[in-house]
Amino acid sequence: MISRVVRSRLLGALIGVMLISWSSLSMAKSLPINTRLGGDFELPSTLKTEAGNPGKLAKLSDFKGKVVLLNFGYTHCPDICPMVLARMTQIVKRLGDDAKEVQGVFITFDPNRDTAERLSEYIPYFNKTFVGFTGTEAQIAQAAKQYGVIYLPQRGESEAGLLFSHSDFIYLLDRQGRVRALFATDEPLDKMANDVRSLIAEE
Amino acid sequence: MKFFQIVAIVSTLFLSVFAQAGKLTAEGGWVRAVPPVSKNTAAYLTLKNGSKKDEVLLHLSSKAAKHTELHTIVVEPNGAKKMQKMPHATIKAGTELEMKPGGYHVMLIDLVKPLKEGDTVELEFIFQHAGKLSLSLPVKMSEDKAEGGHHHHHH
Repeated sequence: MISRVVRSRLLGALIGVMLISWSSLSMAKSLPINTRLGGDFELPSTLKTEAGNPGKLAKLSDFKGKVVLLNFGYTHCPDICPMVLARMTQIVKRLGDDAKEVQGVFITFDPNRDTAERLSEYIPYFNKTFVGFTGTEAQIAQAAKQYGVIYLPQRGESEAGLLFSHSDFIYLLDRQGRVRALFATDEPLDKMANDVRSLIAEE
Repeated sequence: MKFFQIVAIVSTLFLSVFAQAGKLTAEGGWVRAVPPVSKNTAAYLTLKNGSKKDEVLLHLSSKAAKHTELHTIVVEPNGAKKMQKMPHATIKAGTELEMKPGGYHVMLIDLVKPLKEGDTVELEFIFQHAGKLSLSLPVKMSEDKAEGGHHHHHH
């Protein structure tokens, strides 16, 4: 009698474990949709106006149909921001022919120094297809809020002048512009490239 | 003539990956290539203290930039990362200080001229015990290993 109770409990636990592992497996197959973060914005970009100068107003939704890798930063940043952009470049490189399905996007949270002109001299260095966005402080604050980005100016004792303390995620957006993953700076490149591929495979 | 050229090339290669001052060694150094419009960049390397005494990095300089500073990254409670200037760094006896993207780094501020891939940057460190350590580091777009999230430690 006792052993039967124990056995049924064991069976219950086993089924529980199987259910958990099954659900985590299916999670790995399809990235969950983040309903808390994201959204469209329209800002001056590194794309050229009809007059041929950077600063054309563009929307994030202009890239609908492509998988988007998006991050926030500033060009006076000596360590983290160029690292994150270099990582985005390396993900795109890993994709080979599929790279054309992907759009890299950079939004500055230092719009006073990072004009569209400056961004257009900075961003293409990492990948010619990447697009940078700037705007007014209020516009940038709104876009940052949508993605849960923190940035705080800090004037320290460094000769580098104005630096920011900031969050540094890469946001992975699907073809419909929905946030599907946030990548920290220690996320392996191969894993990130696989996640991008999984979204390219989605219709 | 040819022999000296080879010696020069080999010693340059040697210098770029390994340098030594007493029991203090530097390995795996590189400097990040940045767009010409950018005046700041960072250098990364690992300093190993093979001696029985704690070592202190007192001063660092480079002719490639107007200012050279040691910085580290502090993660704040809200998850944001903050750069912090360090007046000096202590490397305990028998340990190492790994400088890497998102951590300790040498900040090169106000570059004298733009750095491109393939250039070399001279750095000079002054240590409390080991004295002067001169390095010549290669400029690279990125170091795949350092930016792939895989860090191999051999201890």
